Amino acid sequence: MTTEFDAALEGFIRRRLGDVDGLRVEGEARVTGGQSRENWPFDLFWEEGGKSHHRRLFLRRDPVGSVLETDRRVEFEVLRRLHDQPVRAPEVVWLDADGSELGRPALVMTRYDGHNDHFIVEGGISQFDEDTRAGIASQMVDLMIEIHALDWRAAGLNDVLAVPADPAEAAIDEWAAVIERQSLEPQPVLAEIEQWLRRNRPDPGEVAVVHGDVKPGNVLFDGDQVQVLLDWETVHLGDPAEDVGWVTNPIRRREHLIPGRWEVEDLVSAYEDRTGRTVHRAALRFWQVLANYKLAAIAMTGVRSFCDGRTQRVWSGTGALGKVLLAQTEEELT
Amino acid sequence: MRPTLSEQIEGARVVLVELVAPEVSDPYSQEQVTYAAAALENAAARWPHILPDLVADIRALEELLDIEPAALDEAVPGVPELAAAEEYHRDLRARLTDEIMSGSGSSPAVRAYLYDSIERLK
Repeated sequence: MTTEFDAALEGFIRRRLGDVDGLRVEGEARVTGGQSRENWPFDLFWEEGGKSHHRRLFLRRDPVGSVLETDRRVEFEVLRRLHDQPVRAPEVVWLDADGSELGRPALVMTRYDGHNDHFIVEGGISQFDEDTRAGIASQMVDLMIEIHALDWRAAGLNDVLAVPADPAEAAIDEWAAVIERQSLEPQPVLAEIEQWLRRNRPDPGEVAVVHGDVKPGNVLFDGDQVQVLLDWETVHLGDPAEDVGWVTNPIRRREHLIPGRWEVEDLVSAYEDRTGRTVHRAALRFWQVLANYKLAAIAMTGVRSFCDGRTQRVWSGTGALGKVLLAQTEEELT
Repeated sequence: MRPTLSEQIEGARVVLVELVAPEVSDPYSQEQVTYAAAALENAAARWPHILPDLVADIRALEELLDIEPAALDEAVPGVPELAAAEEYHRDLRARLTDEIMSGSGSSPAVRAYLYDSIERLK
């Protein structure tokens, strides 16, 4: 049975491929795995110039209610500019920026082989031995370094992304605004954390491309090899230490660290050795707190979506994150 | 009265987990059923404590903000009604939030309240 979405997708593709024969869209079905976007893999077949064509594609569409409000046009334009850059980013194909064709804003990208395993470093689905898992954890650092090494001016990313004069201040302002906009009730814990962040922000330094959500759950693996980093919706220009803080944030331990084998210090030292950068530990603490402040803002967005009836995900309490944030900010940074 | 509200919520959760979830094959729907079951579990455990914990939090806020404890009775006469208590509580939390945002540093008393309130209001 052809659904309204099937018809919309076919029309969207026809307008881009032009007058081709035998256009066929197969296998589109919403898959789980992303809380911020709907993910729809599909296969596209058509005849053109006497040849049969087949493309494996992946559609990411804004849901009715998300945990994160980001702009598909920005993600598309960044990925388009990164296509010829030395970074393992997906190739984007088409965009429906305003959702006028597919119901809600969406982008289509090439679909890659590989498997996704959120907790691959801890064991996850793959259950590799410890040496292999340590190798994967190390590759995740290389992936982050690859992003931070990008020449964003040469790639023209400053045409799409704001260049912050003070990355830490810009990050606090951005997420405080999200909390202000999305919260349904007063948030004294987050107010306390915002004040701590403002008092303890590091001085501005180098500006680099920051992915904003480096994690195995956003990677496709071929066996134990990192293939491609998906989900660039929080990409921005900022302090590269922000990504290091994100991956060493205590509540993400299971995703990035191996107890006794690959701890925070191992990860940060590997990053420093391979880049020649110094990650000041006070700045790292700041970015770890910012990481959870950002997660709190994301949770506020999810709670509002739920309470407004815009998402099917039922949210329970978000207090655990508040406790972590308070514990992280017991002391001022020196 | 039996079944209590907790028992009814728990019964609904069991139906969801034992009857509905095994029949759901779509991964997206499975995920939503899991979240819904977790929310029911939380609701069944929490609801009997909501009003007393809310009142305890209101008292803690009044102390922190130096407000006469009688204020709750003025705002919500007699046995506190949940919606009215929630509204008064929201007002107090807004006041505390404003104080934090206008303050120059962290206060141990505020921090102690924030820790306790997370436990009370989870």
